Amino acid sequence: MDLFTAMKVGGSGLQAQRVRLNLTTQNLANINTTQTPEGGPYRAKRVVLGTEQGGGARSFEAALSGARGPDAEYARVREITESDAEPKQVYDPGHPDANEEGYVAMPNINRVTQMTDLMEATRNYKANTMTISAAREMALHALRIGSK
Amino acid sequence: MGSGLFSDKFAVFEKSMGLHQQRLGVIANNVANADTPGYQAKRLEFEDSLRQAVSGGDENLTMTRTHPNHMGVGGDLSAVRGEVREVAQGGRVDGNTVNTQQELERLGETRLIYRVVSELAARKASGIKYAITSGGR
Repeated sequence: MDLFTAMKVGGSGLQAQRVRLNLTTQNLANINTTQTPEGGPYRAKRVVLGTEQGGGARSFEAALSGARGPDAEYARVREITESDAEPKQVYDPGHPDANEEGYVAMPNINRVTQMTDLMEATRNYKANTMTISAAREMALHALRIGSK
Repeated sequence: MGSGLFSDKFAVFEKSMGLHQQRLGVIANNVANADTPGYQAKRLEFEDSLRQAVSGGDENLTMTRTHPNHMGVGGDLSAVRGEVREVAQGGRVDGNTVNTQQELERLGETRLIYRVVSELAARKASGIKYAITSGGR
């Protein structure tokens, strides 16, 4: 794998973490949403990531000598799932969506889980930017050979 | 090892830089897939085979080439390959075995070594340039 491919792999990681970050933000923003187009309260969404082996063009010579090294493994969004946790029943008789007993079905979203998810996504995002900048720095260093 | 102006050192630099590039790629794979369920972290290992190819075999069992047609003992540099090993231990509940901190540590090490080797190659190249231009004249 060359340095540019390593950068692309880092980019796939950034993309995946950003989707995760967006969903967490969406979940926190809708923590009190009781009406959705599908009916019922909002359901927490989360991303499931998968790996895609980077094939790409492979020259005959490189394949023969095995010089190409390990394959690229891109992070890809496989699916976005909705939580099937039962809605939280909150007693609030004044709420327009309250049932006859005065209970409102609220989204079952745990703030703590969402916040830790947010932190983890941010941290992983940073880690991917670090691999990209390392690849960039290494490429620049190689360019200096013979230039002095 | 050749001792001419364009000695085998460049071949060693090239090999080492190529292998470290590949290692960076493996680290990038691991970091990008830090949230992929079931993903196994990978390591690229080549130090031992590279050392053997450069130093000409086992450190305790060195042999001397007394004739230029003798075959190398340690093995040929171009045959050195990185070996990919999967990390199966220390995973999370979802089966992912990537440890981001560890990967960043390796990343730092890799970029440092790459930098040192490319600096050595650059100095070697500028030495040759100096000789070709007879001392910069």
